[in-house]
Amino acid sequence: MIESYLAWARGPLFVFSFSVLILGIVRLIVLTDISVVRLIYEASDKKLPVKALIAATLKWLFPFKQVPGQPKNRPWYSIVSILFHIGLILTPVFLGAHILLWKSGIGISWAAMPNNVEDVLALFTIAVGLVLIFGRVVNVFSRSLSKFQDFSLPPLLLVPFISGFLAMHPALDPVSYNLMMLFHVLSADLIFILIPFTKMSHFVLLPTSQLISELGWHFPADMGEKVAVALHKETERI
Amino acid sequence: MKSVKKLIQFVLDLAFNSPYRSTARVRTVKGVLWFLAGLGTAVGIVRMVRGLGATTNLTDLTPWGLWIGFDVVGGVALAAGGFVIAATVYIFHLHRYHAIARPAVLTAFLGYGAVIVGLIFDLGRWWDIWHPVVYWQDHSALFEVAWCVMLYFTVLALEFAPTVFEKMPFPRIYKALKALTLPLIILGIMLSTLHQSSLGTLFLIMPFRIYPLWYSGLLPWLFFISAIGLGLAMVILESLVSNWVYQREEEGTDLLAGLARACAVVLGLYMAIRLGDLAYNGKLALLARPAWETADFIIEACLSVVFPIVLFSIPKVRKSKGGLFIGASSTVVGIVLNRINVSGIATIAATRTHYFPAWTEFAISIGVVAAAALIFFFFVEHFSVYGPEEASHEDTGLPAQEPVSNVYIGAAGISNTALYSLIFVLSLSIGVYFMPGKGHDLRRTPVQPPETINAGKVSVSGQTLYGLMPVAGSDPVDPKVNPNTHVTNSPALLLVNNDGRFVIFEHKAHQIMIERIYDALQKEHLITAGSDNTASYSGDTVIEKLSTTTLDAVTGQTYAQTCDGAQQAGTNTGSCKLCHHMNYPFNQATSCRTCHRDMYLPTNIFSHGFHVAKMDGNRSCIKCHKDPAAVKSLQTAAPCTSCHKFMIAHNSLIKLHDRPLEMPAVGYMDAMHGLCRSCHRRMALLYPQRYRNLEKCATCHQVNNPDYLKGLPQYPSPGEENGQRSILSMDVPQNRGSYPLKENRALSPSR
Amino acid sequence: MSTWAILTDVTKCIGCESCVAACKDINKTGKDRPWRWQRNIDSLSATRWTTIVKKPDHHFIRQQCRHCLSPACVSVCPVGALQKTAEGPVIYDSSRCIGCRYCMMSCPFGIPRYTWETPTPYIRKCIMCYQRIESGEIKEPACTKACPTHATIFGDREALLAEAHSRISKDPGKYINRVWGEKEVGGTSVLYVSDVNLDFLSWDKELPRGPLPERVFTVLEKVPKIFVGMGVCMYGFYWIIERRERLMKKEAGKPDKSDKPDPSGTTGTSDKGGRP
Repeated sequence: MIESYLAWARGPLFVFSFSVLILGIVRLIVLTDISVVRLIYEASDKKLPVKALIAATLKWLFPFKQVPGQPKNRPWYSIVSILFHIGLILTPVFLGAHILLWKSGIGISWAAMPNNVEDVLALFTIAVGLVLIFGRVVNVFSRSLSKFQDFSLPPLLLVPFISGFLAMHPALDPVSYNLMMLFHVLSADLIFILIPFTKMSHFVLLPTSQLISELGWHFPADMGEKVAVALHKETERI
Repeated sequence: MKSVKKLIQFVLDLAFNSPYRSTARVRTVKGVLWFLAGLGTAVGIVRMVRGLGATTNLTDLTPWGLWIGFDVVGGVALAAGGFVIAATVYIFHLHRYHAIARPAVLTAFLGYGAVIVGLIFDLGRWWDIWHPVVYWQDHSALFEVAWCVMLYFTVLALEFAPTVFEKMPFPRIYKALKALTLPLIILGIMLSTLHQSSLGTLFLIMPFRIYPLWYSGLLPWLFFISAIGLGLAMVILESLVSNWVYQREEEGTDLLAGLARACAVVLGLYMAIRLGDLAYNGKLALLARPAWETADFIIEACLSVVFPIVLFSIPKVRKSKGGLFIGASSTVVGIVLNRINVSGIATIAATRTHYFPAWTEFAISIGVVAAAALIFFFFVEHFSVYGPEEASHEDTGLPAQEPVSNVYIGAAGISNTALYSLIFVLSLSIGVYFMPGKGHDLRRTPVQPPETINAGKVSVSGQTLYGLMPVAGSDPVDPKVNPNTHVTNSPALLLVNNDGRFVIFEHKAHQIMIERIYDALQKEHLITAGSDNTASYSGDTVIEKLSTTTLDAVTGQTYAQTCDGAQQAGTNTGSCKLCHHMNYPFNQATSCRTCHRDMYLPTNIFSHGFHVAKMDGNRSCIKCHKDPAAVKSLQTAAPCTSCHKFMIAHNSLIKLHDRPLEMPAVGYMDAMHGLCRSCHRRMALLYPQRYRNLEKCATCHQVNNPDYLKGLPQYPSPGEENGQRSILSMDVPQNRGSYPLKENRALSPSR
Repeated sequence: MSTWAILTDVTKCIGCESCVAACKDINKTGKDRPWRWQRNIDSLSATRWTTIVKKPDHHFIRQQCRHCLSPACVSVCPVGALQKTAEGPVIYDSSRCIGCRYCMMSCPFGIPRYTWETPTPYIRKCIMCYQRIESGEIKEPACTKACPTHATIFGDREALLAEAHSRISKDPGKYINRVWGEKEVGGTSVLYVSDVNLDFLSWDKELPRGPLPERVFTVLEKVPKIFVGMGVCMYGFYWIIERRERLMKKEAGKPDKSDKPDPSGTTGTSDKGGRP
């Protein structure tokens, strides 16, 4: 019974979620590109602010500096966040078992990390992730900024790590291997499906959203009125 | 350079400065179309990667299916509106219809585009689609159709081009195109006449395939006339639908009514010719035959002709939107059904097989139509197809956000694009999800059971021949005919494998031989007569006797003599269980090899001369024949492993070259074969002199293996079999499924 | 040898499939596999260009391409991938094929097979070992050479036809008095004599006697005439109606130019201001 669910989750469902992931990312890139072209087309100042763009992207990649509106800097929070991202990407990509799946599926493979290093990385990522969630909940400023997906996505991201780690270590596994694998695969499928449609899409949108918000200031002359009309606030005073 | 800049500016204006804003209805319709196009795209990708076998239900006997019937033959007919309306307006000067000329030409242009795309999916070698341009075959109707479609597609593009160019900043091209209009229209009509009828000519060559109600020498004419009717109906339908989608006021219903009247006349003419042809050829009687083809014909006739004519001949109905819609769609469905019938459904009975399109085929057909409709809407929204675009309510200028998670994805004005692309992405993924997982079907094909034939061995002037023997009177094989017969009187035909290769097994001769041996053994008190207890007779003794002595030597008789003897012995069936030992658990029958030990020829891959030469001639004898006193033979020589330490490389991994990835896991046998055989084969090919026997089965599967092959599955020699037989006394688990393979193998002395 | 032909005597065939094995061997067609489009593993397929059809009472009939004298498949192929050689065999040029499968539809015997499993498919059928015989590599097709009972023999069509008739006349009780392939669809290069009815080898019980391609040629002959005729007619109509309209307008006293029907393209809406 569980075997057949498992076969479904890593067969058709995986193909579905992975194609949603890939196509969704392609869609986001295309859409943002269209937006960029459109903004340049409409902008009165058509110069591309390359320097400011790179600076903004880097600033948000390594957010040590003060976030506007935040009472004080949280450098440790930023460092932990970067570590979390490193673990999040390295662990699944360089896991030997995953590489074997790629090899048998489409025939490409790359070097794997040793399994004990992977174990350490996985535990590290879980720990860092827990710290991040804790920080978000405890810090008043973060909590007030956060919406539902900000609270729900980080724990979801940890599920495949925890279940994968337990599946690799049968001694610690409270349930059967297959059930744990099912959790692992299903949560990964869910994450794949959600990535293009939630804030997780920031991993492709980060540069272009900087570009768009940067270009947004090059409005054509009558843009303010248009926005007012769109918001049905044309009668209100600015 | 200047014109390139102009072009870029034009494209940007078109994309971002369109006056058209979508209503909720347009958005819904387009959303559905994008969904269908996404499904079609998913199937299309799989079609290109895995081929036709994986994505269609086509077979060798029904090689043309939905894609030819609907997309190509039906699609060309559906696009006939272009030339019909063009002729009406520009040749016959019925200027009333000028307003629908542009949409009709656009529909035709996109229709032919859809035909070509559909054809690309259907053609096995679609990248060679241009071949008819190079390799001329003027005796082929398809060649003519290919050329006409090609030319007419170009003509339609040029006919429609003014609509695009009037908005573009290239006035000279626009003027040139307009000047070309009349010649293009006439050329278009000429080409249409040809290929609309030639599509009928395609099927003239298969009278044996098409059911007589559809086959006719007049097929070209029928196709041409019905295409005119269908073209008119399609123009009506397309006007009604796009009026509905864009919520235009119902104008031009009078215009459409005029078309409907003309359509009714054409359809009437079509049916008259068709029925007349059936009557002339005496096929009308077929309409009374109770066959599903008759029902199909009647449904088709009602939908395509009778129903529309009735509707269109009532002026009130003709002038109402609903009446027009029902009549026109009935015509469209009916005549497309006619095309599908001729190219597919009506040929199925003749092939004595069946075909129903797979969902993937429907997905492509519908997806291509949906894509064409989307392009149609694009032109309607951005160019003056139906006249200057109406001013519509403004779209909100809010930035685009993801519907659920409110993630910001772009600036204002792309929210529709975001919606459509979301639908497209999801439907494409859904299509991938439902895709058949395998490129081929591993369903088991039925294997024919062994068949008894009247074949046998006869001696003709010293030569032994195998052949069919005439049956005289009743068949002695059948126990009903001859109750005294317990065994077949004639040899059985045994299927050896799925390739259909077989050997003739002379059952009776075997039976007689074995009985003789039984008798002889009984006399020597080696077996107990009349016993049916497995343990009480030593089958191995018999097997040993059989395998070590030629049968004729045991019996000392010729074939004819044993035959006579058996007829007298008749009922002695004591030997049956030697082969048909039903009391062995999990055992089916003794294979031929159990007795015929020499069935696989003994082989020897050891080359003495090579070893002598390699090891310095005569001085090397003692390297293998270590005991100088002993007779120098294989038995007294040192085993090969004393020098060749590792006949099988340690840690060697199995690499299977001849198996696709999606096959089930390899079994033990295949794994072992994969381990050794590839190398054996290569060596046998490389050094045919030295290793010519290396590839043969018996090199490894041999009774008396040298030591180094101990790891391989050995076939039991008579001595070993006693030891293995003792396993029988072990408790045998009832659950057969979980019974390990290894014990199973040991249980069966035959394997 | 004028026309190559194969004569198969059904009464002599023992169904050993040596011909099948020889064909598979020489053409390297590979192993038969259980595909979806294959009803039986031992029916004609892309890997099995000839096969033995088993019929009741131990009748074995070899099925293969009939190499018609006026082949439908050759006549319909839009790119000439199938060609009728002067010697008789119908051969296949895979470099031309576009995979339209019209040949499969048009074959009255349902012979050509398709390699459905690949995205780069080909047509597959018996080619009577044409290239190998032509180059002198072998003297006769592999199948006839392999036949242990000489049930299927290779030779000149006239000679084999005479042989077939002489076999029938020598033993009229044994054979049905008919040579399959002599007259159907204009005659085929593969002939059969038999003691059972072989009509099941074709789609239809009664195949037409005349060559099939002629049905199409009679229509295609008219193509140039219709093409030119349609053009002349259409221009004629245009000219007459246009002139009449012009004259009518002149009579009505209107200026000629302003209301001249717009002959210039599908400009309808923009020039005329769209629909009313």
